[in-house]
Amino acid sequence: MSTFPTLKTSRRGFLGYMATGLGGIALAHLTANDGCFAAAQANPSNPNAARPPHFPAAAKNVVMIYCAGAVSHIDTFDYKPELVKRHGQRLPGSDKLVTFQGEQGNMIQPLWKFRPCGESGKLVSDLLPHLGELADDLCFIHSLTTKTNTHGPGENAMCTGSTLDGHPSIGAWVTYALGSANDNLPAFVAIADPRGDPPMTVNDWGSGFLPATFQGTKFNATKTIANLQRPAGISVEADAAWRGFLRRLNARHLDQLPGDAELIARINSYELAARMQLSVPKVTELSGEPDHTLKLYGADDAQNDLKAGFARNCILARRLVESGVRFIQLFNGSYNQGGEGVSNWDGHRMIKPQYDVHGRIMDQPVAGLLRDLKQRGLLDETLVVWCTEFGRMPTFQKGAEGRDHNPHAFTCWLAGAGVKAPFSHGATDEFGYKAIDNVQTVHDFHATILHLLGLDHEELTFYHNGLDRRLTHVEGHVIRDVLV
Amino acid sequence: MWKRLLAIERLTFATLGLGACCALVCTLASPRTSIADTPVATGHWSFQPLVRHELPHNDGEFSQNFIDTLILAKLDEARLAPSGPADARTLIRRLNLMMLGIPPSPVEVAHFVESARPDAWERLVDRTLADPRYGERWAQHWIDITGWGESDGFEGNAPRENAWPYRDYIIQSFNDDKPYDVFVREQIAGDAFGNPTATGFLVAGPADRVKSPDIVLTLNQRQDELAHMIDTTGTVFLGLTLGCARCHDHMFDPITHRDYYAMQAVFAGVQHRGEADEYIGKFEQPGPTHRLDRGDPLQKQEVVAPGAISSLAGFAMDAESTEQRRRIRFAQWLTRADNASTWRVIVNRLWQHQFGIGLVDTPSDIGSNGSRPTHPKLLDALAIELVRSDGSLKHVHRQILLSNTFRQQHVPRKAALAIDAESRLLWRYPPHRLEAEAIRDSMLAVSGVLNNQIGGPGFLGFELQVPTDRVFLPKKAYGPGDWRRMIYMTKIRQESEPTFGVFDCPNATHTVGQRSRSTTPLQALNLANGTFVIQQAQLLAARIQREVPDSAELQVRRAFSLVLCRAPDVGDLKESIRIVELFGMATLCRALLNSNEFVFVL
Repeated sequence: MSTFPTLKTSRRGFLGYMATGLGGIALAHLTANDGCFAAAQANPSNPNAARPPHFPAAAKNVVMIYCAGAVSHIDTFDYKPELVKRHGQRLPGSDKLVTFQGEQGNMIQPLWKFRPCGESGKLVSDLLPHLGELADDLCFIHSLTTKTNTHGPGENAMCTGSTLDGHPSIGAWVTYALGSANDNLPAFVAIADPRGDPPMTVNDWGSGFLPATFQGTKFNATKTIANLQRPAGISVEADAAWRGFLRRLNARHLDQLPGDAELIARINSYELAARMQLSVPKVTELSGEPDHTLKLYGADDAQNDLKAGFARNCILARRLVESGVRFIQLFNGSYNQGGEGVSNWDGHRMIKPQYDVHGRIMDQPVAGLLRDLKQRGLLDETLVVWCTEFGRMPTFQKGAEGRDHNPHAFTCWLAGAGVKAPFSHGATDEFGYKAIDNVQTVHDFHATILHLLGLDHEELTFYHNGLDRRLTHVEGHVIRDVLV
Repeated sequence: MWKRLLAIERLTFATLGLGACCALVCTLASPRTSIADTPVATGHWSFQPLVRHELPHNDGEFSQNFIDTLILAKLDEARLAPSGPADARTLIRRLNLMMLGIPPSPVEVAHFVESARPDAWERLVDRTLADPRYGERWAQHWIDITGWGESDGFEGNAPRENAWPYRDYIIQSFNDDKPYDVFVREQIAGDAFGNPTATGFLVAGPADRVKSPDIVLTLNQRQDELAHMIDTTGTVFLGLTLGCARCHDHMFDPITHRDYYAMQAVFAGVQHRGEADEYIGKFEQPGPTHRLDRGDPLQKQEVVAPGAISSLAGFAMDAESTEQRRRIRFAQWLTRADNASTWRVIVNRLWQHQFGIGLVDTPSDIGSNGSRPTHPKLLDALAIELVRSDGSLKHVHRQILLSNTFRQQHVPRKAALAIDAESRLLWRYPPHRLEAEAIRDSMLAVSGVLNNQIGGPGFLGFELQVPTDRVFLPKKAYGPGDWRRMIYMTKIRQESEPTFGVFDCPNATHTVGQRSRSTTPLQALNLANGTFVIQQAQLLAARIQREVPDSAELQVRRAFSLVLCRAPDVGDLKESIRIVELFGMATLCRALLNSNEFVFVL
């Protein structure tokens, strides 16, 4: 195993090699049939080394903001005057309609006023006033649909492309494709909400059937990586001593297997871990951030700990972008402190008071992140993605003051590198019940994100259990309309 | 070309919940314009009968048995020579780690190294195969492929308190050397063969407990459950991705859309139900099974009777056959001596877990989209050996272990690497890293705290966050209850054990035929600083100080022989003594437990 097999070996031979795992090193397609792509000769002893994209990329980094619980498009970004007009009436054709929790009540107008924002006059609800101010920087996709009306599978679909558990997250796919753009931090970081993990937890940033090398590393502004620091009770000197001896043991062992890539990779992983012990506390240490920055994000909000905490995570996201972390997934909402709308966007029964809470937590920090990236010139090379698993109904549920799940329509937005702004793509019907114009799938959404990173979603494959798997399965089209 | 095919064959799934199948079928699809009625040709190697090939003539000293003869023939073709025999210390360590998942004790090493008996190896192999830790080690491989877990998965992921008897059944079956055909039949229809616990296999997978008045969701949840049974049965026993035929004929293998629903009819009465005594299959007489257009439960087509893969000598039975009878027939079909796939797949798995990689490196897919075997004749010879020995897995293990192929050195040779960098032709024993479980178990064994209790309810590898019980946190402290082998750690779906999970440990969401073997800084941090490992280093140090009270040098020697099965050389010894004197024995132990040498099999 001491040399990397030549990439000219048979595709299957190479894939077998990947699975036996010096760590899934290069793109499978590079071995296959595509003379048009440069063959990235990846170094198996350093699987994190940067690899070139398929074609020149618009974006170098991604910040993917995932809002758990299904944000109501009706009450945020997808204004439907017809709902206001027909407030309190039946949704046409809904008599026999059974959605996730059951029967429908009447149509209910948006619970916040919409007002024109920016030069473009885009209508955004008063629930999210700070984001409204940035409407000119946002590229909305109003016509998204997904394959499930259930949170777990929906969250899986948005984060991994599959409704089922255990598929590689989009961040893992990107890391598998492109490697790391820095030498002392993980390539892919998952930042959990201060309230806890999102419902599907590690599945959202896991590596699935890709080698574990490509999984996201979870930490946030207050909770660092597990086992990062020297254990309590062990002195600096003792810590240096065992490391020194480990180096010696490993070097002597390697003498017996000169050039063995797996052994070298493991030696390197201890060195990277040691660098992370210094670099991670540095990047999560926000005390050096000036007051005006804290204020911009709302991290100074003494009245709202959750908002301040989420704002600190947003500041961390910016710092990670600055440090060359390729893929950052920023979570908003969790189920740890109560499901069904209490600590997330799942507003089944009391959507108004619950969204008042969640809107305040999410709005200013995300807007602050966009403004900060922009003023530092980072938005030119960073793609910001704001997403959720599906939308909500234009009706209230029968006997409740909230909206049920709606997989037939939801809104997500993109901002930054390579995307048009201000821009709105696709549309739902007059009530916001179904996407009808330029209907898009989650696979389309993913294909577009990969495209902006210089990756062809049909070429990015990994063999697993009988098939060359893709993030987008056999589906997905790049949404060309949103590209600059 | 494939882009055109994609356009022709793109499948739009009208249904909810589809995800596992069909990924990327089109990038490799042969140029067929129809996906109906014309099953793929059965000329593929794995659909051919087992053939006993004449052994090539090579009478050099390497050829200990038929395995060596067939390995040598391929090496000759590639102008490669096998390696010489590994030294006794390397050999006993390799044997223990691969077969038991735990290194040999210093006494065992010394005994074998010093033995002058000509049959020392054979005796050691027999003793090892009779060791109950063998079943614990090999059951883990079986659990990987079944995707068995002790929670429901999906959003709720509620625990299955009574799923563990199936795990014990597997351990026991391996230890008893249960004939493989019996082992297979019991897992499909154990309720009919006096071993209902074995049907834990059928309900090993996740079950979505989210209930909705939405009938489409409910129907799809049931279809997903059945798909998991069919898919797992196919990958585990036949090395065929049956799930690919859920929406249409299989793109690569001779499995029709109708075959899929014939097999669904076999399993249609199997229910997940956990409240009872054991989490095993529960059965009720099912209604008719329909073929579903594009897998969509709202698009029912004709009724399909229970059956198997028609192109592989399937069977026919009445559509109204009793539930149990269906599974019995299917199990009998699976285990026929002429169902070559069944036998090839299992001997390939045995080979895989004795060398780190199989003769076919896609062990759960020997269909047209899988790899070809590096040594097809050897694969058949091993399969025939298994059939002839009445399904004795230990017999096949023994043949492999007694071969010179297994006993070779691991040392790389530049010229050989240039020809076969992956050592797939076995010109040496291929070195590789241990799996999560073997690393953890080995630590416990060398520190002396390993709790050898076999079987029974498992232990939890996490602390549960109250009051939700849904958040799994790392434990703050570990005690004797945690120091059982990792196979007894309750397998929570989706969750990854906080210290060792990052070593590519499956989380029971998929069937995993071949684990990845990746290297990450999180692995390094967990072994370097994790509470579990730090404590093990301290326990190991305490053990050494207890056993060898007075001399730093003897203590260091003891540490090396426990952890690395060898003596330190002069330089290591000197440096080790310095570290022990300055920082204590635990500091040295921490380094040893983190070393490449400890976590690699050579």
